[in-house]
Amino acid sequence: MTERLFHRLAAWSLLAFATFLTLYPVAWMLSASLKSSGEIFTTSTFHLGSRGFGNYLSAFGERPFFIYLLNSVAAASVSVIITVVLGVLAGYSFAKFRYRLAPLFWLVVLISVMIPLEAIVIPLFLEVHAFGWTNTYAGLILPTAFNVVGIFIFRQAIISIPDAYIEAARIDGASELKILRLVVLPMVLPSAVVVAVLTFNLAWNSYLWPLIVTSDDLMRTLPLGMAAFQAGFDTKYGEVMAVSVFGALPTAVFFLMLQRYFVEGAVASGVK
Amino acid sequence: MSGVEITNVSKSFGSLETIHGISFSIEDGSFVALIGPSGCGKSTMLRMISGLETISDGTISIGNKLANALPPKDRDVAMVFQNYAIYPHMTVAENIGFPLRLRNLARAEIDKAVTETAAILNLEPLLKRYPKALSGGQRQRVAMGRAIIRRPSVFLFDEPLSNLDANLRVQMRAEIKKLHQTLGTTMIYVTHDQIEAMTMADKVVVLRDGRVEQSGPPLDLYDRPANRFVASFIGSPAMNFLDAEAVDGEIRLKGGQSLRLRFAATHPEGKLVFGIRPENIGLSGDGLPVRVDLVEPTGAETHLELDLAGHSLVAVVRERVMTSPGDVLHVTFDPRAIHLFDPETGEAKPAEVIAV
Ligand SMILES: Nc1ncnc2c1ncn2[C@@H]1O[C@H](COP(=O)(O)OP(=O)(O)OP(=O)(O)O)[C@@H](O)[C@H]1O
Ligand SMILES: [Mg+2]
Repeated sequence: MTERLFHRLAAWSLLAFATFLTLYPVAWMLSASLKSSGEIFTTSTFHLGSRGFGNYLSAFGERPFFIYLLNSVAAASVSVIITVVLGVLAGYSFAKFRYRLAPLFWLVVLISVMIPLEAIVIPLFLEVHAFGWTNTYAGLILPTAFNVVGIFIFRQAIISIPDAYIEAARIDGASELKILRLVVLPMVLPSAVVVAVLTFNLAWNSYLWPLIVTSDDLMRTLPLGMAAFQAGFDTKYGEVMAVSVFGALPTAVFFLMLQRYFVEGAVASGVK
Repeated sequence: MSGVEITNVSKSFGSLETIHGISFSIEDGSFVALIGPSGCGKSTMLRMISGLETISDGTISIGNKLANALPPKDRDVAMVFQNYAIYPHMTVAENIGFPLRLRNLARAEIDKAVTETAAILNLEPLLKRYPKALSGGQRQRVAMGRAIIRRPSVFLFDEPLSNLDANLRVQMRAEIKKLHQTLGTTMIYVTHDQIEAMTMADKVVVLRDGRVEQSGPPLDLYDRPANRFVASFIGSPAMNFLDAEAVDGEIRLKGGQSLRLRFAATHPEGKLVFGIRPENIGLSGDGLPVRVDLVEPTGAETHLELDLAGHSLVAVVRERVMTSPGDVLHVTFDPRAIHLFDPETGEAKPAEVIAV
């Protein structure tokens, strides 16, 4: 009895400690965003500072953060849509169809996962430049929009759907696209959410490619805007933190909205 | 409605041929059971008829139309799968209406057809439920509903009852048979359960290793099996097979024991396999002496494991026999129910036999 209580306590304190470690920087960011530069390093994390929302107002006054936000949201959304649509198509194909070129295509997918963006960024830029896409939304968004991991997650999820579901629909007269839309996609919805969240996050935090392909201030995404803001000769940490909070909010909201599916899907893709 | 004609159909997966030139025909409106041991090619045969699997050689016609190259949706067949394959994200009504939704019928028309179909299968109270809230038998009925709503010309069933418990299986067997009588549509039914095949089908096709062993009405297969395999596969408990030989027109067991049977006209000589069904063995005071090894009363009948001169024998008798292992009983064989097989090929050897 006491032993079990002890185990409980040990588990809870471990979890509490881990939670504290994780949340401390977030709390620090939140409180610093409300403090003046002087207060940040002199007052405790739990001191609420004297600036109120002043840091937010001045930061937004200095830079077009709303434009950066819109650019980021646009880039991330397009990336999510493209990844989910192409990912489920490719995943369905790799999971349920046998054809001669399939192993070759799969190899291409594997290779493209293994090559980091950093390795191909110069030739990719040259290509995009040749298209005349520098400083355009197309150039900013499309070249890195597709997240190859989407193919893996969808393939894995679709493999576990029994063939009979698909064959039943085929006999009943469904085209492959209809099977995908009406049968397969609803059955892998949790995995689609996982793909969406991962891709959104990846696009949201993307830094290198937007940095290279944009030079116009109004084409910048949030991470670029934040970096440029931070790089000034006198870094105002309070304002930087205010902007960081602003940048972290949309992903947090997006994740919380889809949390139920996300946990379900992450567990499912882990088990299967 | 239409019949199905299978002519010389073969199927190879890679270089391995698993169906070797099968032919049989299915009359319009009939109920045909494909039966055979696991791996004999029943499902493959059904999938080739449905178009889910390609044919390596031969032809399949559905309703006098060559179907070899038709995609599944153009064959006008519906299939019920062993695991039902009803969609977990759709309600019963949506599941049943799915084939019509794919044809872009109007909502009202679909609803009407769903209601009618649900009525046939007693599913009306369940229409709004999701599959996870249904029992096995109800899921099975939903799967059938999705098949019959289209009024296809051929129904295909792949072991539809094998996931149900014994009682429900008997009940659904009767329901499917009634459904066949109501709709009058051609049905092709795959099973490995010979009782299902015998009780439901107009015609049974027995497959083994990708070949047809015999096909015909169930009772013909029971009464006149073409070979030892069919004889052992159909009927339960299975037919007894005893090594025997024909000597001077008389049948003797290996070892010399006379069976008190002789041939009426023709006189084959040499080794043969003597087959007798357990239910064709009678108890009689002046029969052959046998030793009782095991007694299994089931209530309606008694199963006896017997020893006849070193050969073991199973008998099923209707009367209640008060006997125990070690006792000696006397048995007779109904001469009209005797089957003789070639020991090498297993082919049946037709011969008229009389008791002596
Ligand atoms: N896609 C496939 N690839 C390779 N071999 C296959 C394939 N499908 C079936 N086979 C082989 O074909 C043979 C017949 O299989 P089939 O599924 O038709 O048997 P079945 O009679 O339905 O058996 P069961 O009663 O176990 O369902 C088996 O030897 C099987 O291994
Ligand atoms: Mg099978």
